[in-house]
Amino acid sequence: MSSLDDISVTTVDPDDDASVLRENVRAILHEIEGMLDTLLVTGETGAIDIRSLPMLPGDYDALELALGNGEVSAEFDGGNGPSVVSETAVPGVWWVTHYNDDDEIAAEFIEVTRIPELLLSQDEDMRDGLDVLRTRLRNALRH
Amino acid sequence: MKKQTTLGDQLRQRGISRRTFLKLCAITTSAMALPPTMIPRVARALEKAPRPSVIYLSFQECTGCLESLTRSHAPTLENLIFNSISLDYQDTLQAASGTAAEAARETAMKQFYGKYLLIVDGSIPTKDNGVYSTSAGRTNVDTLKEVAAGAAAVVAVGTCASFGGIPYANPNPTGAVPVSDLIKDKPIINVSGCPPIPVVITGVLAHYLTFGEIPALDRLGRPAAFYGESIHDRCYRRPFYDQGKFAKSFDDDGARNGWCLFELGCKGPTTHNACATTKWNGGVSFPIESGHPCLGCSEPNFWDGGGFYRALSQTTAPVGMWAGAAAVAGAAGGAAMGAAGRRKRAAAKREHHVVTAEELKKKGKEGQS
Repeated sequence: MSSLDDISVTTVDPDDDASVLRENVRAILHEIEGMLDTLLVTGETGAIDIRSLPMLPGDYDALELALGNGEVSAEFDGGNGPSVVSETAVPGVWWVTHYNDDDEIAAEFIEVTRIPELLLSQDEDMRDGLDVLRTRLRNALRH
Repeated sequence: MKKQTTLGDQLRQRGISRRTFLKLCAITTSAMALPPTMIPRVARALEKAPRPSVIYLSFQECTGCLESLTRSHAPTLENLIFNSISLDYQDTLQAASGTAAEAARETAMKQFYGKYLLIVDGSIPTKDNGVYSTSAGRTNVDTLKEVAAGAAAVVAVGTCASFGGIPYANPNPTGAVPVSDLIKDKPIINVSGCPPIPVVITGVLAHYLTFGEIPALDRLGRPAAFYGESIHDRCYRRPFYDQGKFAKSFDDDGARNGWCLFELGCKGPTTHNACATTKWNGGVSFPIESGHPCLGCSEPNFWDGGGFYRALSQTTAPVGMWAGAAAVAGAAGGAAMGAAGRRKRAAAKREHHVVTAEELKKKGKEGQS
């Protein structure tokens, strides 16, 4: 079966005053600016749910372009579809995309933080890992 | 007594890492239309969430709502939610049939009396003692009253269950009524839409599962998180409206350039739903993005609202007026509801226009000139 991506869609940009239409992007960038300033001053992190915003065709790409690609990119896959975590060209501003099993975007956020929590090792997982490691060491001793 | 298994326990038993859990919480928070700052609270709540029993009754409906629900584009969240609730009765999906199916419902009702969540989809016909829709030899009215009596809350899924929908439309031959006309002593969440957006249905269930309480509702009993703003206010074509750029027909330059569809009958300004942001088919598009005006399907009496292609400014009975009438009736409750229903029906009858083929031809010609 052909996928939705195979249907060619032409987006007609209205001829005059295209800048009005990118107001959505400018608004988001202003919000990010405020969050990044807060992070530096108070250490408080921020996040924007991209799916909750009304987006004009082209806005999404324009936002991606405006933020650019940064130095760090990581992929996480816990078995329920991957998540891609990338720092944008603005340090401290991360683009986090969660995919589901069918490779569809299940949720997408811009996170303003030193490091997204998803990349941090979690206590529960570390405890489980420690148990596994200790069991292996015990078994190794017996041989 | 056996300790109730929580969602957190279940996930750990299945070897799901904390990171995956955090990811699911982020997706759930987004699906519930809550701000990302709520993610830690959602995580704390989901860890302790019990596994509630759900009974899903289908009445006078087209199964479109269930089609929508099952196509909730499976963010793994929904899989988990459905692994995490106990769907004890759904006559279309369940394997059991006949007396075995009814027995499953009765068992669940007995075991979780006062605690289960009841989902209703479809309106309930009341005319001629409710004979127009029966299941297992019982009328929908009887079944609804019996099952609702032991429910913690009722979720009315779809515009039929919420406001009567299409069966309720003039001349309403079966005397169809929404759930709220029959059930007065339980919290009711109206998840309207024809059908409702899949993620909105699961988002409401997720909210109940997460916090164990019903979400904040608007004046028509709909979750404010999804129905709090009008389509118009969140529409990406709004700048065109503000600039006075309108498509005048479906094939003019305005339509091709994606201008505002207000003059083609768009009900966006009086319609409250999440289509403009959540969109459909996994976020691909929504009617306005596909070039069609909003029909207002999540509002009361959308079918009798004066014509899908008539601009709101020309409509003799704007959809918003109906919504207002329903809200007043909702506040007064009881007897007032019946009276308002009759008034609305009478008004709908007055507003009903019979369109002949000749008139349509004539209109077509006018449109071309």
